Amino acid sequence: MKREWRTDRTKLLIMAVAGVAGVAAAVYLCMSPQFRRQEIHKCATTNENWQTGPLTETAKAVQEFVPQESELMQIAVWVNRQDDSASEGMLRLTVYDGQGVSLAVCERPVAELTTNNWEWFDVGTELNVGQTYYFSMEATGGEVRPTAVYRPMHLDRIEENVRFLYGGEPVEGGSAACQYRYRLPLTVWEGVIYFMFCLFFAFAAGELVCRIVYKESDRGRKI
Amino acid sequence: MQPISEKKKIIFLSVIALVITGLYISLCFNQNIWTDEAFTIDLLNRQQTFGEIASYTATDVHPPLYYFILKCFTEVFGVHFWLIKLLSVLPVLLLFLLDMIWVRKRFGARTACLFLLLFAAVPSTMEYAVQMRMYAWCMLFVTGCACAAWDAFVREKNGSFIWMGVCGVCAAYSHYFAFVAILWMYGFLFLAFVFRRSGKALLKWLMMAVLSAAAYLPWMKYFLYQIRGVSNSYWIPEITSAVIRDYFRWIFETDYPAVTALCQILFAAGIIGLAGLMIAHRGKRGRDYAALFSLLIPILVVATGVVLSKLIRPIFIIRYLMPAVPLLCLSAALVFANLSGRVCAVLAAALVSLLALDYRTEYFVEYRSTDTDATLALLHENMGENDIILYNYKLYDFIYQCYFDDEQLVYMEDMDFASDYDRIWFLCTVYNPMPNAQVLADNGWSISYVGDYGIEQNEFWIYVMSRE
Repeated sequence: MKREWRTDRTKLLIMAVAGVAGVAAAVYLCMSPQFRRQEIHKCATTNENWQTGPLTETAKAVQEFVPQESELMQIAVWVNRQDDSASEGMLRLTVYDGQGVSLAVCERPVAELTTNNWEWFDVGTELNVGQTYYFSMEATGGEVRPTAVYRPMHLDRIEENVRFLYGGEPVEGGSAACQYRYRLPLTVWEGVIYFMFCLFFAFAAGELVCRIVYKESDRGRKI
Repeated sequence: MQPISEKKKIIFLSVIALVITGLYISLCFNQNIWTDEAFTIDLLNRQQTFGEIASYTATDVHPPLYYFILKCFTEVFGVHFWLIKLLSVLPVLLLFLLDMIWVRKRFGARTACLFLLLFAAVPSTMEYAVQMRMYAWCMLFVTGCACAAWDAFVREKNGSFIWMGVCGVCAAYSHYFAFVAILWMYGFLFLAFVFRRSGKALLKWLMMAVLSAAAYLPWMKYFLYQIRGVSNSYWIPEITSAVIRDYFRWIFETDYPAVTALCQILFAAGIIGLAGLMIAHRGKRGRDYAALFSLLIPILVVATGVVLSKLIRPIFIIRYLMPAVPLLCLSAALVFANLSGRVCAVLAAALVSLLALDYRTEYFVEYRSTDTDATLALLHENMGENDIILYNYKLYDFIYQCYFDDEQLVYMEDMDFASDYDRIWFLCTVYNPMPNAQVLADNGWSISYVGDYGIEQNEFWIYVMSRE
């Protein structure tokens, strides 16, 4: 009788530890940004692409945008290296708020950019949904400078983009060929699933430990 | 504590099955289809007899049984998207019945319940349960065949062999990778009888195999024709190691990376658990072999697909595994049902929460992911009798034909702008340019942009042309 009582108490202890471990794992999952869902907002594919002039420190391509989510991770842009003749210097992408305060800067060597593909820039910044922000593209260094690709606004399906400017002048009806990658907040359902699965894994492991410790077997179970 | 009566268990399982079926049914009432479903509709609209369906299917890559079933169904009820989608829910309901009757009797209500929930919670199954394709029927036939094979192995009764033969032939007539699954089952059963040295059972197996082959003979001519066609050209990309690694992710893929990973861990735990059970019971327990058998079939289907792809040309894509996915779930259910009731309850709760998430995602995919409804509303409300729809993407014409009459549709290259139409509704994709502005001006057409629309995953801009 005493032995059974001790066995039950130990089992209870093992399962309690398993439960705590499961909850801890679920909390870790919920808190970790790398496990959160990401979403890309991209403009429509169109064969109507136009280019700005060369990007320089003064002649920047600027896109005014209104974020749809609060955590902006990356921005993808489409640049043109002019038949690879632009191969030196850096391309700098900067995110500004409405007052012109720089929020994030990312630079990449022009040489590693491709002409006919999306190029992602890490910006990783918190924004307020619904407020106006800007991102600018400028090239520094190098004799030949790359250009930015933009498209007719009415063909693009991207909600974020408002005005497109080049060299400080608005480009009428233009919209930068770009994509925004957001990290989305944790939803209640994700949290519930994390908790339930982590608890299950932990309890299953706990039960396995109990069975090994007490050499239990379910041989009596019918097929 | 008094054990729960069988009647209560059946009621409990029935409630779960009905709720899941209800969820599937709620996903059927929309106009959303994708390319392969458009092929199904196109085939129904164009081929009038069963012979024509067989001949037309032979020019594609699949066997014809699903199209025959569909033809019978639409002859009675007519061609409606929602009805055809409902026809795919029917085999899933039958699969649930099979679970409640056969799995419950052989392996217990806990296994049956976990199988139901695992099947419903695996993200890929919800999509295929409402698709106008053969996959839902294949799942039923393959699972039915596996159950019959197990019965034939355990009991060696004539009825089991007949049931297995019927399900096997139906599966083979539905999809070639369902056929592959069936071939492996026949093979396993043969080996089991050889090792058991059961001559009587081997004789029954032989009769079943011969009759199954005979039943498949009428399709062999088309089968060989399709093999030749596929050997020459097929659209599936090359299978690399990265593609194979992706297979395990695809089955459980959701928009939520961590949820997908948890599903993968769950099934990986099931496989490890099975290995543990086999070791713990020293390979002497029947249900462990049932779990192993259920696990090996999907693995061998993938392996066969990959090997054939390497030998001939790429012919396997992961959705061809769908017919065997219920067996994967059955295997996991057989393993997890060994856990205590409380731990199983936690798993059930996790699966229910996953099911809810899947449903939300699938509801969005079925009802909100495309602009089809808006496009149809715009055109149906505004098109006059003498208006036409002009499109510039030839590949999609059979999809447009699912929604509009042939007389309403004109492909860009066949368009005569001198014709006496009132208005032209132009579906402009990026794949081809706009009509020549000079030609439009010469014929008195002015063009104005209406908006961004789309059908299926094909997005386009709609312009309207009219003469002033």
